[in-house]
Amino acid sequence: MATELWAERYPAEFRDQLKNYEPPPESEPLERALVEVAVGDLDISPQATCAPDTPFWMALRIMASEDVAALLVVDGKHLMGIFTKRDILMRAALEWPEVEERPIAELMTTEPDFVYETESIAAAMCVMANSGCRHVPVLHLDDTVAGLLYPLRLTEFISEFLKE
Amino acid sequence: MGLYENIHTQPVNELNLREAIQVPRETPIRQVVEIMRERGLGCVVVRDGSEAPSVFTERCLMKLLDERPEALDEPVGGHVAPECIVLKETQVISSLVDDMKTMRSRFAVLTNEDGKVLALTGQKGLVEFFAEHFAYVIHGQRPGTKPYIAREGA
Repeated sequence: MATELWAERYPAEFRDQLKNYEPPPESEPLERALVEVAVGDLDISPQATCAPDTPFWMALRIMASEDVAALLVVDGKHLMGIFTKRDILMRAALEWPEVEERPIAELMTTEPDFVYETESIAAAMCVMANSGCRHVPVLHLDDTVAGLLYPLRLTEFISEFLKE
Repeated sequence: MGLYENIHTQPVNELNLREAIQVPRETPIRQVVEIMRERGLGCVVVRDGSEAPSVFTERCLMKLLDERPEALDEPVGGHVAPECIVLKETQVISSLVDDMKTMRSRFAVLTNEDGKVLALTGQKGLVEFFAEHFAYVIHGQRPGTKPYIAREGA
């Protein structure tokens, strides 16, 4: 009985369940690259980081001296949040000098959207577009910080394909 | 058409555009910051009369706060970005990509043929343009900010 069922469900002739599946038509090198290249293959590090208890003035100094738009706030190797120019605009600019000594943990964006290093560039772009955040932390698979992805890095990647 | 062809044929005004708020050069920075906060904009266009537009961005604000935070009441005209991407609305998207890479700038001011400022676009518009080409990727994405493991079984 069991053998009959088996034979019915799994006939000797192989049937490909995905024979009608049509993969998305990424025919161009640029489209293929965006889907196939992983975020971790881009230049995502080094990235400026600071500890959650860093005072605002010091975080600002790091951002200005390194000319970066975002700081990853980390506790050891783990991401606690992200502090960007948008946080300066929305939470600190008009509150100066009261915020000068406040720890960055009080001003940063907590639980930011992130991508894993193995996700595709297209997926990262979709995260950026959906979340409205231009700076997306990249994590290793063990959830430790790998780096930061932002549009300029994507623009540089894309422009290589536009030369051809 | 494919993505490569679209980038080389579609005009920049087909990207998602943002409102271009224009302020005179003598506007105090504090007031400009209030406008940026209220509208959720990272950039305003600073322009008087028919002169070429310049921009005051979050980056300008960051440098100002770091170097001279007391200057928040000074006119914005003295603290604009040294360079600004200005494109005609009919120029193709690839020209925006090139300019953004060369000038490492986040924003672009779009004008009509007469030089009238129409809108802002930039990295955000570009990323959204690319994301639209990969809509099917979104369906397979991890929702929210929780890691896969934390969501296991959910």
